Amino acid sequence: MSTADWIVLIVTLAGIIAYGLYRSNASKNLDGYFLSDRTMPWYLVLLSIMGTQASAITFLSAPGQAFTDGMRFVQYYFGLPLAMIVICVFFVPIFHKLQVYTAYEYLEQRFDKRTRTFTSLLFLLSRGLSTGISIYAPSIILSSLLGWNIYWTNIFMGGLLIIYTVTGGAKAVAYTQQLQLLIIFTGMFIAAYMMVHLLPEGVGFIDALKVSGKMGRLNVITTGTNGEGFDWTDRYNIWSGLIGGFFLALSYFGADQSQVGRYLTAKSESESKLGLLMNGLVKVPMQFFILLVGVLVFTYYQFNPSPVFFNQAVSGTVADSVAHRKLDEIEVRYQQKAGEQAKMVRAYVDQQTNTQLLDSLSANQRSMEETRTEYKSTLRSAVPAADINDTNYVFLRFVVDHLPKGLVGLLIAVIFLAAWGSIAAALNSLASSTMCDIHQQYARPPDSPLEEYRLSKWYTFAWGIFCIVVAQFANNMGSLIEAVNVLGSLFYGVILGIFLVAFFLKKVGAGPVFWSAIITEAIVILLFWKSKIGFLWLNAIGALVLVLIALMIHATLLFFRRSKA
Amino acid sequence: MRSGDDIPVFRSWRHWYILVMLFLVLQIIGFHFFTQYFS
Repeated sequence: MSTADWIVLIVTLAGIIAYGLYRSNASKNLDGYFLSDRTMPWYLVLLSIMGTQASAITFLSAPGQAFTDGMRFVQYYFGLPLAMIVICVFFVPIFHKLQVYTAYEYLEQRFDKRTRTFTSLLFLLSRGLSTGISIYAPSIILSSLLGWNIYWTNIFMGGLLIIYTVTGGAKAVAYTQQLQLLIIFTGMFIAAYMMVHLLPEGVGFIDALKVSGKMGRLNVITTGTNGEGFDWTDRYNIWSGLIGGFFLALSYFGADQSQVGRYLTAKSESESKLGLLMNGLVKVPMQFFILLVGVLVFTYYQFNPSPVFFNQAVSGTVADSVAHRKLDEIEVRYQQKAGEQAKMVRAYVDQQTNTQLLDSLSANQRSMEETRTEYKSTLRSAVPAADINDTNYVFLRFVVDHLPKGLVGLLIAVIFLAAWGSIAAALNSLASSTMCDIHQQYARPPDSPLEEYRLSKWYTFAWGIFCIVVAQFANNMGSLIEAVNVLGSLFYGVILGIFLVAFFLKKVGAGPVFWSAIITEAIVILLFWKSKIGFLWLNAIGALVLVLIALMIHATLLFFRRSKA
Repeated sequence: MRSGDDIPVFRSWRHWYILVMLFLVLQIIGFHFFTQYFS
C-alpha cells in the first residue's frame, strides 16, 4: 500500500474510534450499556440492524462468491422481508411489553429458568464461534497485504475491537454503525464505478453484464432442479431461499440477541418495527449490489489477465521445487488461456450474435476453471495444510492490484469498518446475554447496578478474547460467509423452534419444550454430519421438528396424566 | 394479521404485508427476467 492509502486507512479508522468514544455517553447501568437507554430513532435502528448483519465477510466473501458461483446467493435473502413482518407482529410487542434486556428473558417467564439458560447457551456458543470467524475475515486482509502472520494479525485486530467495544457500549455501536455504513457504501459505489471505468474502451456496463451473463454469473434466480427432480443438496435456489431463508431470518432477527439487542434500543415499539420493516425492503437490493460488484470483478478479469490463484501468500509457501515447477507450468498454461479468452471476449462484444464464438468462449472459460482446479489440487498436494479456497481473496486482490492510490486505503477501511460494526454488536450482545441470562440468574447476592455495569464491561472483554482464540482456528473453512451461515443454521432452527412454541402453542409447558430442544439439536447436528442436505434447510427442519416433538411429548404427558386420573 | 397494536406508517398489518409481498414478487420477477435476458 502507498503512503496515501495508509493515511486514508488510519484517518478513517481513528475517526470512527474517536466518534464512537464521543458518542458513548449513556447511563452507567445495564440499560445504558446494553440498550442505549432505549432512545434510538428508527433510522439508527435500521442502520444498526444492517451494520450488524453486514460484516466484513459480506464484503469479502460475497463478491468472491459471485465471481466463482454467480449471483444466486442473493436468493438466500428472499425469505427475510416476510420474516420481518412476522417478527414485528408477534415478537417485538412481547419484548417491548416485558421490557426485556435479552430475547431469552422472555423464555423464563413463559417456560422456566433452565429453558432460558439452555437457549442462551446455544446463542452464546453459536454467536461466539461465528464472531471469531468475523475477526478472522478482516485479519486475512492484513495478513495477505502486509505479509503478517495470521495469528498475530487476529490478535491485533481483536485487540483494537475489544478496546472500542468495552468502552463504547451499545450507543457507541449504533452511532458508529451509522457512519460506517455511509463510508462502506461510498467505497463500494466508487469501486463498482472504477471496475466499469477500467474495462477496455468501447466496453460499457451493459456489455459487461452480457459477458458475465453468458458465462453463467448472472444466475440470480435458480429453481434447484436437475434432471432427476429437486436437488435437496443445492444450497441456493428460490425455494431454499424463500423457505429456509425465512426460517433463518426469523431465527436471526427474532431470537438472536445480536439483532434483538439492536432493535430493543429503539425509543418506542413503533420505531423498532419500522427499523425492521425497512431492513426487509432494503436487504435484497443491497445484497444484489454487493454480488454485482463481484460479477464486475469477474468481467474485468475476462478482458484482462487474472491470477490463477488469488491467495498469493499460500502460493509463496510452496518449498518443494518439483511442485513449484509444476505450479509455474500450470500458471503459464492458464495465462495462455486467459489471453485467448480476452481476445475472444473482445470479439464477442463486437459480434454478439456469433454463436460459434460464444461456444468457444464458454468452452475456454470451462477449461480455465479446470486449470484453476488443477492448480489448487497441486497446491494442496504440495502444502497439505494450505487453504486452497481463494474465494475470500478475489475482491481484495482486485482492489490492491488495480484500484488507484487512496482508493485502496478506503476499500481496506471499508472492510475494517464492516467488521467492526458487526463484531462490536456481537460482543455487546454476548456480554448482555452472559450478564442477564446467566450471571444475574445465579449470582448471590445480586450485584448493584454499578457493579453489574462494570462486570458487563469485563464480560465484553472476556468474549473478545474468546473470539480471538476462535479466530486462530478459522483457517481452512472455505468461504467464510458460508461457514458463518452453516454454523448459524446448526443452532438457529432449535432456538427459533423454542420461540415458536412459546408464542403459538400456549398449552405446551417447560418440560416438553426443553427435552424437545435437546433431542432436536442432536438430530440437526446428525443431519448436518451424516447427510448432504443444503444447510439452509436445517433452519426449517430444526424449528419444525422441535415443535413436533414438543407437541408429541406434551400429548404423551397429557395422556398419562388423564390415564392416572 | 393482528391489528390495533403499534403499527408504523399504515393502519393495519395487511398494508405492510401487501407492500412487502408486492416488493418481493416484483423483485423476483425482475431478477428472473434479468437472469433470462443475460443468460
